[in-house]
Amino acid sequence: MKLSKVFFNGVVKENPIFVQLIGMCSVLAVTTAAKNGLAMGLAVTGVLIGSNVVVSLIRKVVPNKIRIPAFIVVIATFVTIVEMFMKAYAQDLYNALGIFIPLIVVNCIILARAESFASKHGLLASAVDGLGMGVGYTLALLILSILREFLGSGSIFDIQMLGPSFEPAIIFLMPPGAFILLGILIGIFNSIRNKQASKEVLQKEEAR
Amino acid sequence: MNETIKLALILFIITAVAASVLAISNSVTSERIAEADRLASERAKMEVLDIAEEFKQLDENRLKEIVGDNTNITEINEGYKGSDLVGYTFNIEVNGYGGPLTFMTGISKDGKITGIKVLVHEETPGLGANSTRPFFTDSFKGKPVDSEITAVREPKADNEVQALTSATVTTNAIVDGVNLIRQIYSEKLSN
Amino acid sequence: MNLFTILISTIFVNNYVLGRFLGVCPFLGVSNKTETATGMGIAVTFVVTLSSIITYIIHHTILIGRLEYLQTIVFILVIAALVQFVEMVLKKISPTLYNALGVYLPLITTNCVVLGVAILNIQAEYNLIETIVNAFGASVGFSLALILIAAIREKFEIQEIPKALEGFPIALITAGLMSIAFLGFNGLV
Repeated sequence: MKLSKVFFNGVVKENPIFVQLIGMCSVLAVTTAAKNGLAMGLAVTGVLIGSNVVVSLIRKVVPNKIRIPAFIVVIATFVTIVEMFMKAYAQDLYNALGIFIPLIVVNCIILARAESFASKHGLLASAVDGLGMGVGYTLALLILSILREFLGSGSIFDIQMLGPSFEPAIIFLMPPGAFILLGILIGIFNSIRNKQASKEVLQKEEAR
Repeated sequence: MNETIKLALILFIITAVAASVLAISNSVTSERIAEADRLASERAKMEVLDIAEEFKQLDENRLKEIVGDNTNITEINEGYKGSDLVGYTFNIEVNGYGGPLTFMTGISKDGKITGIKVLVHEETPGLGANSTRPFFTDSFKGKPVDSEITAVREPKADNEVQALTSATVTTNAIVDGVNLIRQIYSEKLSN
Repeated sequence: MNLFTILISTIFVNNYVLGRFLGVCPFLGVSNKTETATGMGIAVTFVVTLSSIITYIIHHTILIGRLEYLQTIVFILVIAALVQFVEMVLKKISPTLYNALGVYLPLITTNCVVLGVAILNIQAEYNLIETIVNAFGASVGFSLALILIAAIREKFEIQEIPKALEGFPIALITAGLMSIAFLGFNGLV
């Protein structure tokens, strides 16, 4: 299993947000500012790599019937560790992300990867898969949060981009904006994928 | 039956290992967390009462004496410059729009509000969350404690502060809290 | 905060799906038909209310003081166990509903609303009665949003929707419009 393939699978082909369509709650909630989106992305990537590695390590020892609760315990442990370290070393980000840090436990992406990949593959591949999915997730968060912050407060990473005469559209910082923007982004991604797929079909036809 | 016990045992072991890892992690970080909390609190007090250099928290009995039934005022600190008492800081919890909102107010001995700072909130970004921005909090600075504070679009008078656009609930919650603190200060602490 | 305010606030003003972004995955995943949506709503209401009571008791008797860092792990295990239990009961009582909900039933474990409400109850320092009302209101709000969007999505079946927008994108945009509508409840409490 080529590691680079595993990595890019997580970023593009099976991007958790744009393709697999899981892990949505956090995406909508924390993307009001680019730095929050980035922080959340990094936190989730950390938990993903950690839990994928541990699940891969114990995959031969854990009986099938209790694998889901066992995975949940592993994930919850990593989330709590991330929580503690954020609270100790990055309190402002901890306060900004609020309840969505402990909610990383129920972020479907992590359990899904543990169940469908890490429990069936070796250590290195699982770690890279965790990294790839995490990067894909973070990219999606960054795109959405940069858009929302720019349209909603005129800034990116707290740097004011437009002059004071720009009236930001606050709706983008509020729930409706999040839903609508994400819907449009997925729609754009879908349309790119559809064009790609029909191009591939045409190429196969011509090759015959 | 044997199988169930075996499964439960394995799950228990995994959980026990997890719990011990967390206990270690907790002991590594808890001091740092307490320190970070303390620093954040000191910084907040310095911001709202910048004429003070040191702060001394009032103990529970004294606090209860002063606030009486208004238990949403959760902390009062005396501010000292050297050995002179120069003012007070008050921590108060009110009901914001998205949830409970905690903020701090500083009042100087000569009867002026020296500043406010929102500590914890769940307000909407771009609306109620603007209560953390200087254009709002600065409008409270220097206001006298002897008259009721009101929030308006363009504050001019001595007792007017900046209202937050489209965030009436947040603005009112904070202004009501400040007025309560004003009252308590005038009645109990301004001798 | 009085109980009626909590109820109105959790169902309408700060609706857990449309205002707080909790429970979005099942909200988008199970909302194709109103019957499954209603069944899911009932199941979630039951799990959320019961788990809030249990986690409240555990927090206030065991965790408080020295073991608070175990909150996340303990809460999620309680929820997982509870969902298993509901699964078993539902299989016996109503096999049709059990089959209709399919894989979405065990997925209630990862439904953000369940864990989210449990944690928020503790954060807001509610007493037991307030906790129950908050949990009930949150899940009723979730069910309401779920049933509403299921009803709308049923109509989509016979509409012409651009291919790129089919499925999740149009559901998200619909949710956005519903969210705007729910913003109108501001000022109710």
